[in-house]
Amino acid sequence: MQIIHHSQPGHDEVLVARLAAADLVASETVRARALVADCPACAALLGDLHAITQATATLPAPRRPRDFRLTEADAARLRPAGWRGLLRAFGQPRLAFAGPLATGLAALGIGGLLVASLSGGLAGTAGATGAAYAPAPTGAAYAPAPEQQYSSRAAAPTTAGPGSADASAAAAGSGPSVAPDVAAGPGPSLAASLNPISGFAAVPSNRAAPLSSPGTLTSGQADARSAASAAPSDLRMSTATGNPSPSLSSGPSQLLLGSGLVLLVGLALGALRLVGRRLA
Amino acid sequence: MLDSARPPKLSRRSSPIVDDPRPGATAHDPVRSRDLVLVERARGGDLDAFNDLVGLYQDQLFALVARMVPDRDQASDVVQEAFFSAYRHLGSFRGGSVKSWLSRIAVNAAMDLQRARRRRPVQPYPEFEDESWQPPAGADADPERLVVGAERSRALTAALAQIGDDQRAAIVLFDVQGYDYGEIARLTGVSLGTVKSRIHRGRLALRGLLEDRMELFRE
Repeated sequence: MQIIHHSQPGHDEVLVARLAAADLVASETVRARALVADCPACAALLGDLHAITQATATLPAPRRPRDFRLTEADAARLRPAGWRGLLRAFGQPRLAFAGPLATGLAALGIGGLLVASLSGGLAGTAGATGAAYAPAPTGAAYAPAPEQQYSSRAAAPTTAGPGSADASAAAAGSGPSVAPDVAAGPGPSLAASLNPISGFAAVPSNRAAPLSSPGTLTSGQADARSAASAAPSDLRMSTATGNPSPSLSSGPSQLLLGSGLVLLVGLALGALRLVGRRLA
Repeated sequence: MLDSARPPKLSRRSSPIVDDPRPGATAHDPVRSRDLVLVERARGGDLDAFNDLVGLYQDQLFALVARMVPDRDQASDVVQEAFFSAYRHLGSFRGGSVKSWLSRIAVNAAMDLQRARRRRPVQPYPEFEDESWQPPAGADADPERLVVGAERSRALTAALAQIGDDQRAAIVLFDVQGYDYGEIARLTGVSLGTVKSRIHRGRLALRGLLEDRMELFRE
């Protein structure tokens, strides 16, 4: 702030400056006009301010020293390129819909995840009570895969002891049956829930081979393991042929996956839009 | 009070006319519509469209910046950088007045430069004696009036260069460029009251600096 040499005690110079700019309300205007009328210095200040304002407004425009148009080289240098250009494209106003779309997708994904987890919980409850009593389909297609037997043992050693593997194999080979909860270990529904992505139990071709002891595999079981891991076509086949399709767990799983995917897409789109706008 | 009595605005230099290809687009504000068309074309990669905008506004922007940054070379660099920045950030233009958008970029660039000058003080503005600042002479101009006018402009320019950067920016935007308080507040990112205060106190500061030369201003 510059020192105002004309300042005098009792003189409100800012009030006079505001009067010069016609920037006062009615009551202030009356007071300012009274001040100017009573004080010659204030009147001179008002006149000077008017003169300076007018002179400022009529200052000659300085001539620009050069043309500021951009050359092709300038434009090429300034134009975004590479991944920055790609990201900046997301910040363009014509992609303004991407923001709401991202928000919507993310909300949809979160909602789907919530529904999936809720229905998954319900399915778990239903599986605990009803799935064990679901009649197994005909044939020997319901023996759990060897790995699943291992994992089920590992997960629930109190219900599936070492001897239960033989019982399971025997039950599997005995045709249609109600899979006993304890003797056969986890049934198809549990096996399916162990594989939430596909929703199906992995069923190797020689699945009826019994286990001799936990942790050791016969040659047939080793073949079964390799077949199970190397032949997903078997899984696809069992899907296509309508083999066990545990509806209680596959629904939430697919919903979970889809919702997660939608959420990811929404978040990615939102992030791209945000970065694009920052770069733009 | 936004609608205060305003001094007459400076007459603008004539600008090239660019046809608006959209039918009916000039129904409300032909200048704004024309500018928006040019911006859209520039966004699509049409450099000529952007250069049409530069041609339309470079005089105004330089007049604005040169008052805020009295060193002509620096003012020139600021304006060029402002147009570079505008080209780089065409995507961030959200509609409205292209002139205000460009002015905002230029004002910000000028204020950045002034802040940098404050941090690294150098020789004060060397342009005070530059003859190119003098007003053009008309055919019927009185030589004495011309001399007085030139001297008044020089004194006022020198005084403007000495007041605070914020006050100078506000006075230039208000008195020279003809923006109202609200526009200046948006351009400079301060409140309406601050803008008014800067203008009033800036004028008082000018009057203090020109105290001994006020005879030049009283005709």
